[in-house]
Order: sequence, then C-alpha cells, then structure tokens
Amino acid sequence: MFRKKWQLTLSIAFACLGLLLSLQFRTHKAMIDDLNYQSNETLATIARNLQTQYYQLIQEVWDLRTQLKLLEQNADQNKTALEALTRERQKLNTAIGATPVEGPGLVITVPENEESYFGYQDVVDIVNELWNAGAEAVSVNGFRVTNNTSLLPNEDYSAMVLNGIQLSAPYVIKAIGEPAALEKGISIPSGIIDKLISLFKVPLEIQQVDKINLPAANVLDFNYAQTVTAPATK
Amino acid sequence: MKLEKWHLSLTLICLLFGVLFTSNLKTQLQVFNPMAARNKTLVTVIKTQEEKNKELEAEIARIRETIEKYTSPGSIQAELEPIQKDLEKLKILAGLTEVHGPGVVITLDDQEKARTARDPEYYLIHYSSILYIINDLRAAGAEAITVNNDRVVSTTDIRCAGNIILVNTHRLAPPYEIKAIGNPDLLEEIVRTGEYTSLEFSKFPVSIVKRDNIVIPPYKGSYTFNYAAPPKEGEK
Repeated sequence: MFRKKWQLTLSIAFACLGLLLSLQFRTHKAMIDDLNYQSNETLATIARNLQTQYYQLIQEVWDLRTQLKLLEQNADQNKTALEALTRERQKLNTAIGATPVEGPGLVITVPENEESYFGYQDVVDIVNELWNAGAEAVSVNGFRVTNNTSLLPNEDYSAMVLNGIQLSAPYVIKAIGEPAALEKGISIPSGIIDKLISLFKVPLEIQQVDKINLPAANVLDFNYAQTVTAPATK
Repeated sequence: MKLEKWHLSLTLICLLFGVLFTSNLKTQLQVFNPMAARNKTLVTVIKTQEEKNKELEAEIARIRETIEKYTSPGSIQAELEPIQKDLEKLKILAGLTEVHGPGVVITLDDQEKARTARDPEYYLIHYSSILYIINDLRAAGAEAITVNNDRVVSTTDIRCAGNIILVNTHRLAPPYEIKAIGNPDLLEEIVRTGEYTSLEFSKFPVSIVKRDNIVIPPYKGSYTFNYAAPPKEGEK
C-alpha cells in the first residue's frame, strides 16, 4: 500500500514534468520564429538589411524600366526600319530584274515580215528608248531585260540572239510604266520608232495596256567585280 | 534505506520541476517585458519593409518577362538581319557600290575632221555607238560598266541632244571612256566583233586596252518604281 502511494506520487510528478517540458519547448520554438522575441540589435540589423535591399531593388526596377523603354523605342524604330528595308529590297530586286513585276505599260510588236529588216540593234535601240521614256521594267520576247541582257545577231544575221537564246518573229517588247508617257516618249520625231516606221517601213504595232506581267530574270552574281569591303558575291 | 531511495527520486524530480517552472515563467514574462514592447516599432518597420520589397521583386519579375519578349528570336530584330544581308548583296548587283576588278577600257573619240568638215555628223561619235558597245560588253558578261565614270545600270538610257551625248541624263563630252569589269579577253573579243570594229574601220580614234584592276564608281542615280509592282498573290 505504501509502496503504491509513492508510485502514484512519482507518476504525477513525471506527468507534470512532461507537460512542463513540452510547454517550454513550444514557447522556445515560437520565440525563434517570432520577431518579437529577437533582440534589438538583431531587429535593427534586419531592418537595415531590408532597407539596403529596398534601395537596390528600386535601382534594379529603374534600370529595367530604362532598358525596357529603350527596347520599346528600338522596336518601334526596328519596325520602321523593317518596313523601309523591305521596300528597299523589293526596289532593288525590281531594279536588277530578280523579281517578277506587274503594272500598266506598253506592248510593241514587230510581226514577221519579209520586206523590211528588223535587227538586233533595233531592239537594243527600242529598249534604250523605253528606258529613256520612263520604263520601269522591260522584257523582250518574254525575257526580262537586266543589266546583263544583250542582243547579238546569229551567225548569218538572219535572227537575233538574246543572252544565247535565239529569238524569232514576232518580236514583242513589253514595258511597264505610265502607258501614255511611254508611247509619247518613244514616238519622238526621228527617234528609233519614227525611223523604223517611216524610213524602214517596219510594220510596228504599239499598244497601251492596263496590265503587263513581266517575269524575273536569272540574275548572275559577280565573279570579277569586287567591292572594297566585301569580296565578290557568291 | 529503501525509504531513502524513493526520497531521492522525488527530490530530484522536485528540483527539476522547480527549475523548469521558473524557466518557463521567465520565458512567459519576457513576452510582456518593456523591452519587447519597444521592439514592436522595429518589427512593424521590418514587416512593412518586407512587404514593399516583395512588391518590388514582383515588379522586377514582370519587367524582366517583358524584356524577354523583345529580345527573343522571332522579334523584329531577328527579322531585320536576313533583309540587311540581302540588301548588302542587292546593292552590289544593282551597282550601288564601288567595285574593282579586271576588265577593259575602251576610248572613243570624234575624228579631227569633225571640226572642219561641212557635215560633221559623220565624224562624230553617236550615242548609238556607245549603246551598241555597251550591249556587246553585256554580251561578253561585263559585270560593271561605266561611260565617263557614269555607272551603267539596267535602266540606264543613252541618248543625244543635238551633238551632246547623255548617259543617265548626264551630259558627257568626248573622248568617251567606257570601262567594263569582267573577263578581259572575252570582253575584248566580243567588242571587236561589233560596233567598235565599225568605228575603227571608219577611222575613228578608238582604242581598247585590257587592265588588271579597273575601279568603277557606284551608280548615283535613282531607281524609281511607281508602276512596276510585285504581282499580287494568287495571280500568275
């Protein structure tokens, strides 16, 4: 009985001890987490560090905003540049004849005829006259005229050869440009057309048309000509 | 003896109990101590600051994301590059850059007789001679041609006004110097089969010289296309 009694007392004492221990542990844990339990110095240090970080963050935001603004301006400029460069590319491709084009213009037809001679130099002259009259793109018998286009006679001067391809009548020269201006330009007195019609009696037909489609030419790269900055194009 | 043993245990427990209790009490008291109260202000400062910093960090993340969009491939910047590359090449082919290379230099001059003859027409170089020689040079694969340093391009026109020859609407005066870059031998060969030989035969002071390095200036005129447009989609 006596023995039981001290056992009970001991049990109660242990229970109380356990309770106290766990309480102490919990409080201690909360203290570590909670700022309220930190020392003044620790808090001051944390506050100071946060302040420093704050200014650094503001600096970063400022930098990034500046960068973004520049990028936005750049994007606007780039968009404008992209449009301008795309137009320029189209223009130069048209100039060298590397892209097909369409537009209003003039069609000059020289039908087959036995009486009057119509030679390669006449075609060279007509094309030249068309450029002078403001033609923007020209073709001869379906071949786009470029800075490489040439016309030569064949061996017996019975036909003309355009860049190695023999052409035959009817010869059709097409030019894109303002139709009326083109016709007026090539019809000047004692010009090539005037000479061909009145002097050599070549049965030329000139027709203004609303739409002409000209194909692209095969533009060759340079092999001999080099630029100062870059070697010949490949 | 037996009694003393459990006595000892109880004493020990009581001791521990006492220590823990005081320690616990001390901790509890700390919550309400005046020092902790003063820290409240500091804690508020810290919490506010943390909040602000968090907002800034979120802002930074947002801006960085936007910046990413501007610099990623597929942006305009990336589109620009191939066009610029194309243009570089196109400018060369369109005669907009100075070029140099081997070729020939042809000079054509009026005849002395032109000054005294009653009919000088026959002793003057005409635009057509230049035009045909250029045609021959093109046939020989000339890559760059100039007449008196005026670059000949696809749209170049050569004509005359009275006795004056105009190339790209620029007035030229004799002697006319035609330079062409290409295969010198081929250029000379083809040129000699055409107009050049006719002029030589008619006793015009003409010459053709092969050169290792000819410099040809860029085309200074315009390319204007108001009527020629790329064909619209779906049309042939």
